[in-house]
Amino acid sequence: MRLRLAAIAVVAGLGPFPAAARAAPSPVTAWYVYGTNASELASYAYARGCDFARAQPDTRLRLLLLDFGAARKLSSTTWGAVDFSNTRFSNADILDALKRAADGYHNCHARGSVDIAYGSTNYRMSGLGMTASDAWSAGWHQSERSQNLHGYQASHGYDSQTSDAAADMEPSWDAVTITKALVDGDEAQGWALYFDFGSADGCPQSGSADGACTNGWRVSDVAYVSFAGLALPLPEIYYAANASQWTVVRKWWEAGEGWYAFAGATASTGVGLTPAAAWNTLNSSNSGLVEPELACFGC
Amino acid sequence: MLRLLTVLALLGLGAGGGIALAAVVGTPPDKAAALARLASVATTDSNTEPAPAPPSDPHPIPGRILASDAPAPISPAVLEPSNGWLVSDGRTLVAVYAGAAGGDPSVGRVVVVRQDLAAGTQTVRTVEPERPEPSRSRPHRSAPRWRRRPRRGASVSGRPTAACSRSTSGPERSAAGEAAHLM
Repeated sequence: MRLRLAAIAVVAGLGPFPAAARAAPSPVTAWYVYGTNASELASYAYARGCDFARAQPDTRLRLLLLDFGAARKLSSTTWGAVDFSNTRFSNADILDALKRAADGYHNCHARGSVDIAYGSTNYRMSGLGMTASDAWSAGWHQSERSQNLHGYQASHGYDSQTSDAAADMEPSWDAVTITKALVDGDEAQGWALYFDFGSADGCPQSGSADGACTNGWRVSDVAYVSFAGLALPLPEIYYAANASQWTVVRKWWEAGEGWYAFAGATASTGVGLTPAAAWNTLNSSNSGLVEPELACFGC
Repeated sequence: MLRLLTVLALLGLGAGGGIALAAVVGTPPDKAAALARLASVATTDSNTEPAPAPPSDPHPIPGRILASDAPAPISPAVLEPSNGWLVSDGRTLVAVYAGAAGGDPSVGRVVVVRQDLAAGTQTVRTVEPERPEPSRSRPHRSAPRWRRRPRRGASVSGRPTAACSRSTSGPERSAAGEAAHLM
């Protein structure tokens, strides 16, 4: 597979992928959103967009990941999220905040380009009464709002921007079926790549079998939420064991489903691996299959 | 970002073969169009006019213990939270999550998320209480949790982690005099 990819890259004029020699990319900051009301959320997002542009380390397309919290059904017809201050925001509020993030990036843009991602999580959806159908709708509307954001970016001449979605999908936080529904809803809507910045919590650290993970999940389930449809893995690599678990996920998918690659890695400060070490550790076991993206909470 | 994946998508779409060719070279067909979109993003904006900035209106968050159903952003690999505490003066926000270390419930752990909203920086720190000497150790230490509401007027300068790092039991007082009760 690697030779085939290298050959394709040569044809494309980009040269081979000397993955073993590639250094970890510079991290870019990802944000946990703590809001109080819609207007404050908008000014918060504007500031984060500007901060991101000012600090952008290179001229490539980089991911601005705003984690708005747990996906929620707010009423019979309203979806949104409850953020980390436990404030509920509708998708209309979140879209307005995302537009302000786009404004902030535009006003402070210095180099490169950005993919602004509407991030959420699978945190205790079913425990608060959401069904798999509700989660499917949450994923669908998340992608829809991302597409709405792209319409805003395009209509305002923000050519250095695009938009996608993301979810911190943790096996510990909810069951397989309802979490898969997030991915399926996004896929059905059809716009947004769905970056999985979650974990393979409890999964085996070696082999390629469909082993058991936490909370009734299996390796195949983690593979599904990270690569089915429009999903792409941007896995949390906080400890070396996490890289081993995700390597098993990749091998399982490749054994039965086909090609699998990582969109990069998600890192954090205050954990076992530094951000650079996180990316390098994942890349060392998946050489040539880890894109140079490094979203970091705490950087 | 996504150079490798995007190259494959472009080969599939740009060569006129569409999704079928994309599948041949390995790009998952569902993703081909979205990956091609990423490749089309410019590095400059055609609009050179600045957008109006929203009013900067700091919204303090009075110090409070987060409700039990409030989402915690910390991965279970790092922390199994018991509960959390949040405060912001509108310029600096501090969220403190107390619980057990991921994968080892016998180890208490506190994770501190700090956002400097003016400087645009965010830090995440993990603090573990000092383990007792082996001769005095107990077989199992329960994870810390916030026991009661911090004293009225608690501020973000109170640095509750200073208390957390010393002990996991009883009321503690930070250098700024704030009561931060962990048990």
